[in-house]
Amino acid sequence: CARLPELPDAEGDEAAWQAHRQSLERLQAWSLDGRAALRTPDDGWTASLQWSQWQDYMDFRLRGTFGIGTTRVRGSQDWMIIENSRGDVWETARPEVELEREMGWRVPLSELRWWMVGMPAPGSPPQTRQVNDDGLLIYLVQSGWRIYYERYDTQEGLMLPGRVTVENGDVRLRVSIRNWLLGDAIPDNDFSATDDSAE
Amino acid sequence: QDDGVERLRQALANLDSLSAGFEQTVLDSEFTVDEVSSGTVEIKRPGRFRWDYTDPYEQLIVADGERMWIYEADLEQATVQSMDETLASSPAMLLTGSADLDEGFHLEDEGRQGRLYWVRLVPRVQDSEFESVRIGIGEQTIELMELRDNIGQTTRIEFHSIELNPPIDDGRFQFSPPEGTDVIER
Repeated sequence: CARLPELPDAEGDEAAWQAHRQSLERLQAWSLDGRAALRTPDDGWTASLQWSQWQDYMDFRLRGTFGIGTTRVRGSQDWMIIENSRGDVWETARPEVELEREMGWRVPLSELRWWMVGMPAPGSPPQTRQVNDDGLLIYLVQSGWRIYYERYDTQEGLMLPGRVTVENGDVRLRVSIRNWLLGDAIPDNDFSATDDSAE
Repeated sequence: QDDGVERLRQALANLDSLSAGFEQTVLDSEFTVDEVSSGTVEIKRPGRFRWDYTDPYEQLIVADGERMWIYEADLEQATVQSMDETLASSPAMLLTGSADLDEGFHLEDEGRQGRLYWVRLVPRVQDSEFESVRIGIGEQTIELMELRDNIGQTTRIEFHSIELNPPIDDGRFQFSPPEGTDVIER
């Protein structure tokens, strides 16, 4: 498979990184629109990805080719509603296990939300972190996952990832992001932390 | 009277090849627009098509009658699978499939609505992904397709600048992934 070159140990601009990280941490809410490609040992697919995050609440939707095959996941990491276009709806307290069954990949959702904006997940320190001269994260190893930040774009005055690859052994998720929506405004769709009405 | 159904049979009978631009709109169950994309399509019956999404992302879907490739340059990933695995109700398969529609679908005539004649196709075997497909037929050929899934989401594909039965070289339906692409056999 397309091996990415091992990155040199760039010592990058630490001060710029600390400032950048703080602005990322202040993000209350964000939404992204883009494409996702998943690769597992025996399968792989690409899909449209729409992801809204509001503090700990996530609304994550994948849609396949010709709009065929939709999976939507909403909730926070300890309680989620998963729906698919076959009409199945189920609620789970172990979303990562259920998602692995439904979509064939196990990515730590609670950490992925931090990796997506370009920072390590708080809590466990990353094993490896490399930053470039603009103080942006370019390579990260955390909880056994390798994250490559392959492109950055300026969105609403902030440098945010344009393409990210998240790998662990033979599972790889690659996301190419077209646009970001930032700020504490709750992204426009209908979720909130206590969304009890499963549509 | 079976005007719509008859026109659909006619349109498919007269369709050897086709090239067109398309606009795809995905509407959620409340009919709010969720995603709009566009590109070009080339079809050559039986079984060959080239569905080229160019905006807002690039995705190429190419089928040569036996295998179908789905390739995304920006993600450096391509999947290839045999065509009988692909969804019978996908728009590409409906337009290029050699099987007779009546085999796979129950056809309901919705008559004329505005400029187009409409037919609703309901899969005879409960299709896991699809509840129904509506096809709109214009003067010349099929102009619109609406795929409705089981949670009320609709994918609407509208063709424009349609060329019916142009000569299309078979090479258009061949694909080989560029260097560095991760290829997945499904």
